[in-house]
Amino acid sequence: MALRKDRHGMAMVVDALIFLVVLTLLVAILHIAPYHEDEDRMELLRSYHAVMLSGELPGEDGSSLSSATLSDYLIALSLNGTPSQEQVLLIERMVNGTIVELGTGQSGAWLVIELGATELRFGSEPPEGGEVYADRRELGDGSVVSTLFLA
Amino acid sequence: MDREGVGGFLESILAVMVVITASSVFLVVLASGTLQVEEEIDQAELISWLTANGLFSEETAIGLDASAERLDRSELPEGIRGMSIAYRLSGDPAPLLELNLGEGSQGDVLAFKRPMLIEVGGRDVPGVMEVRAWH
Repeated sequence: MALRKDRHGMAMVVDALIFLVVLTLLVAILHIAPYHEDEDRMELLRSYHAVMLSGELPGEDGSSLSSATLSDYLIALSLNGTPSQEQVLLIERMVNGTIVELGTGQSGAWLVIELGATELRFGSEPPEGGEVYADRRELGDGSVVSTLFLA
Repeated sequence: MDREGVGGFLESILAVMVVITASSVFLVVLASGTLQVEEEIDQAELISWLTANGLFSEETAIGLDASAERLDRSELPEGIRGMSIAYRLSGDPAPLLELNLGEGSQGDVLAFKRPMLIEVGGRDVPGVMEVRAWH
C-alpha cells in the first residue's frame, strides 16, 4: 500500500530502468563493434600479396630471369599472349607458399591472375558463404590484374 | 515507519543499486578497452623495434645471417624480458632460422607473424617472420 501511493518512488524506478537500458545498449554497441579486425585482416592480406609479387623467380645466375620479380614476370607474360603450361607451373610454384600460408586456419585462400584474356586460378575453391576479403592490384599498364582472396 | 519513510528507504536502496551497477559496467568497459589498446601498442612497438634493429622490413629482403648478428648486438625493448623470432618460407613450417633473446617465457606471451621477403641463396623469396615476446 505504501508503494502504490508513492509516485515519487515509482518515477525513480522508471528513471533507473531507463538509465540501465541505455547503459546496456551502449555497452552492447561497444562490444559488438568490429574493433579493427577487418582492417587488420585486410592489412595482412595486402602485406602477403605485396610480398608474394615482390618475390624473385628461381632463374639461374646470369639468365634474364635471375633477378626478375613475379610482378615483372607477369607483365612480361602479358605481352606474349597465352602463357605455356611450363610458365603456369612456374607461377604456381611462386604463389603456392603464400596461398598455403594465408589459408592456414582460415576457410580458404585463392589467387586469380588475369593476363589479358587469360585467367589463371590458384588455391582453394571459394566457399559458398561467409565473408571474403580481397586485395586487387593492377600491374604494369593494367594488362595484368592480380587478386588475392581470403575467406 | 510511516508511508513516506518506507518509500524513501526503498528509493535510497534503489539509488545505491543503480550507482553500483553503473560503476561496475563502467569499470568493465574501461578494463576491456585498456587490455585491447595495450596489446595493440605492444605489437606495434615490437614491429618498430624489429624494423629499427634490421630484423624485419616491409620493403626490402632481410638476410638471415645478418639478422643473427644484429640480434646478438640488440637489447630488448623496455618491458620485454624475452623474445624468440623464427624465419621460414611461406607455406613451409620448417624454420630457416630461430633466434632467442632474454629469459625464458613466463605467463602471457604475445605472438604474431608477418610476411616479409627473405634472402635465400642470393634470391629474395616470400617468407614469414614469427615473433613471440613476453614480459
